Amino acid sequence: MGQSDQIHYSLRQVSKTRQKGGVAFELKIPALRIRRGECVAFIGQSGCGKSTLLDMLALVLRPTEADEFLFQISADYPALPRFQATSLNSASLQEIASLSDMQLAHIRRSQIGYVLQSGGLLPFLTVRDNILLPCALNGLADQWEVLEILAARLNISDQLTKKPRYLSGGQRQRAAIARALAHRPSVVLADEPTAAVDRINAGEIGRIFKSLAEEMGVTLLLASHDQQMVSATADRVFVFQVKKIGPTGTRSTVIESN
Amino acid sequence: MRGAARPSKCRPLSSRGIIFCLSRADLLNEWTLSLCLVMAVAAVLSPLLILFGLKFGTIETLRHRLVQDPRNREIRPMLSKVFDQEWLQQIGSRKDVSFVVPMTRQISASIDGTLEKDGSAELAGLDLIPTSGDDPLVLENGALIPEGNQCVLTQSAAEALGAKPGEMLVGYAKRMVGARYEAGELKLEVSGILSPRASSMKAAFVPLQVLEVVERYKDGQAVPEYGWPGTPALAYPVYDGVIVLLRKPFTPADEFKLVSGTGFTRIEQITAERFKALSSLEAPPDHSIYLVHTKQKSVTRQSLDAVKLKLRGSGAILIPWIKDLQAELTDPAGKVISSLTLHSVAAAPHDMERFPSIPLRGWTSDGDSSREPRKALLPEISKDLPTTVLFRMRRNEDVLSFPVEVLPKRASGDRAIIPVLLGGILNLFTERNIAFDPGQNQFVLKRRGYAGFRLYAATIDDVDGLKRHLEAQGIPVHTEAQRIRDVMELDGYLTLLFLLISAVGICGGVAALTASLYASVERKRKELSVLRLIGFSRGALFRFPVYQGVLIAGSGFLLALAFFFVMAWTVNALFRSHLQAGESFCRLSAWHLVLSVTAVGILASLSSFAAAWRVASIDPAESLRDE
Repeated sequence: MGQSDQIHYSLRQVSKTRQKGGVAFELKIPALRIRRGECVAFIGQSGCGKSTLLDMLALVLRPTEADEFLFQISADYPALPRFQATSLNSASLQEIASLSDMQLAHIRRSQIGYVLQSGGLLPFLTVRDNILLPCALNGLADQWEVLEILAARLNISDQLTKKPRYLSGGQRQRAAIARALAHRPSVVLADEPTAAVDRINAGEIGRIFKSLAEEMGVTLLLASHDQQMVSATADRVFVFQVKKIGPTGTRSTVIESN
Repeated sequence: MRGAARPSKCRPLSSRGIIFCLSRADLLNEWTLSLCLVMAVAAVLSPLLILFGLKFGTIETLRHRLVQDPRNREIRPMLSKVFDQEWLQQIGSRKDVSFVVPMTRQISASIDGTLEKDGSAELAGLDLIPTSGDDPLVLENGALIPEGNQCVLTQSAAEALGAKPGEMLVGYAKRMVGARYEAGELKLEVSGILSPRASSMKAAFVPLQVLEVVERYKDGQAVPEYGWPGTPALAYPVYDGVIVLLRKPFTPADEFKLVSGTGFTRIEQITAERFKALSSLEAPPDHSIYLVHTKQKSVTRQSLDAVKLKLRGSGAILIPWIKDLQAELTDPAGKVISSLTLHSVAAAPHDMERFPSIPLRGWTSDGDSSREPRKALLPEISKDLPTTVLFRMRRNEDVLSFPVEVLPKRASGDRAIIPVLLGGILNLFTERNIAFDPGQNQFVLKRRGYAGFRLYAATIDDVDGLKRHLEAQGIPVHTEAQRIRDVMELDGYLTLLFLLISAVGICGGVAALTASLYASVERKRKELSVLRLIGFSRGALFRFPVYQGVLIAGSGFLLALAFFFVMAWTVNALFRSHLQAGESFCRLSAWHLVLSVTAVGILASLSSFAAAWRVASIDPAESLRDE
């Protein structure tokens, strides 16, 4: 079975409900199967549950109910020293629930990369240190070549010694993408990665991002409301169908768009 | 590219190290805020360090001076009492005593002196102070212990005399005999001069024997070793009682008269048999016999004279009585030939051969002089006894040995018979030390003890205990214990004061640091949640504010320490004229610095706990959600 045939995420009849300010919200995911190396986009209006879905996929939020929730950990990833005893190579919902905070943190640091809406760079580190931080955290020393390649591809080679506050919005997003990919995670979650960038830049960033993810075999999950950017990068697109339930409640269902 | 991009600092392998680098980078990024916090911590710690430095420096200086000056370890008796050698040896053997030397009477411990080279220059009055062996007052004030005819002068004595080490001092011990002054001359070599702090008195430290001869001379005695004339200190007889024989029995009033003001305390009528047992004499018929005696202490001739005076004209016969004594008969080499019981009889020396006849005139005090007859009737010990033998008696450590002429006749019983005058003198030996002086062919008195002593405790901490020990023996003493206690109490009060001020300051500092770190965490929730998202655990992130707290407090401590050293140097420079070498009014020991660093580290950690707790509660989803 090739890498592109491997299931990375498999979700069936997953739901997440929450009550906030007296307003009920329910996110339903009837079926979601994502293959390794795939680029999947989630499109929807604000408040439809894109971030909630990413939270669950990032293993920081547990579903309320789930018939199946499987996260396949990269088989070739060597460093899960704390879990050697359990030989964890996939994590079901039950297994995820039983993991300690430290174990979950270890999975996140080794398996997942993040690109947040405004970059999420640490303001007290230089761009270079921001990019290399996940590498250092994973014990991956001497990642100069990766750094050079990513910086060159993302066109931020001249910005590496600067602090994020001296970078433009587009440069910050490029640096965030470099940080998300530097330690070679199995999946990168990007939440509105081009929201703070002009259209021309957004298109270019999207293309580079897609290209790098493909080259590195990384599964790319995008949450965005930018239809143009999504159609340029995503292999598959999921949309959120929002319905009113009761006087104030909302139900959002994730379905694949044709 | 690689060179420019190479990270040099933040490339640790452990998440703990990474968190430390991140917390440091965050502080440096907000360096103005961090500097303000560091200065705030320094503002709290600096006064505390200076305050403690002043307290420690001052107390240590006072303590150092107490320890350095042996006068603070000196214990002086405040009463004049006879301290015998045994007691002095006992007190000197205690672990908390470093030095003790007996002293003669203060009034007899002075001479007038001048330098030999100055001849008839005006004499300076000098107190004589005994010294020996390990005298700290002499040794710790720049001189060696004088020996033989040497002396060490105090600074003021040396100035008054114009004396230098090596010069000869001529001293005159003066006494008044009748209406005229006499002076005994002694020469002492000045072997050293003490530093001024030793004593402000004009005094000479001399071996104890010098004080003893001066005292003897001032007491009117001769001091043959210095060629000073005077009367010998002869031993005198003491009696345990007197037997009174008279034809008419005493009335109770008569009996009371005999024990009133005579030195005797008891009177009892005895039988003729008892009389014979006590005196070895036959009782004359038709006589009442009484034993007048004391319970414990012996009496002198004056008591016998007092009884005799009260019985004048009554026709009574008085016979002194002495309890039997124990002695050894030795050969000239000191080898014991036999143990003897010495029985004293009131026979006149020339009547000894006619013994046991009772003296017709009774006892008289005419023969009560130091030139007692040293004759004895010995029991049948050996047929070939020499005409002169040695008697030896012991009392504790003291030994009295003297020659005795052996009379040809033998005593009938198993006791040796000696004249009552000799018995009286030997009886004195049971109470105080005497010696037989072959030169004078007499028994002479030996020193009973000393009027005082110079005693030094081993450390200043031993002074109070020794003071209490001596006072428990009924010896009031003067010490510097109160001064030592004052310093200790001052230390206690200052420590309490410091702790109170510290508590207030530290509470303020901890509150400020806690609030600052907590506020900082609240401001950086987003960045911290990103750290959680990219894989830092709660435990790892918990350390973020802890490290920041320690870094801020540590930097503040270093700044405060620098400020302290500047202030300490200034204070010590300002008061340099009041300080001796090695002293300082404001200082901290290395141990204090270690303690301070530890305390600051602990307090900084405690201050950051609230912030750390808040960090640990940050959810990684917050970073996504807040976007």
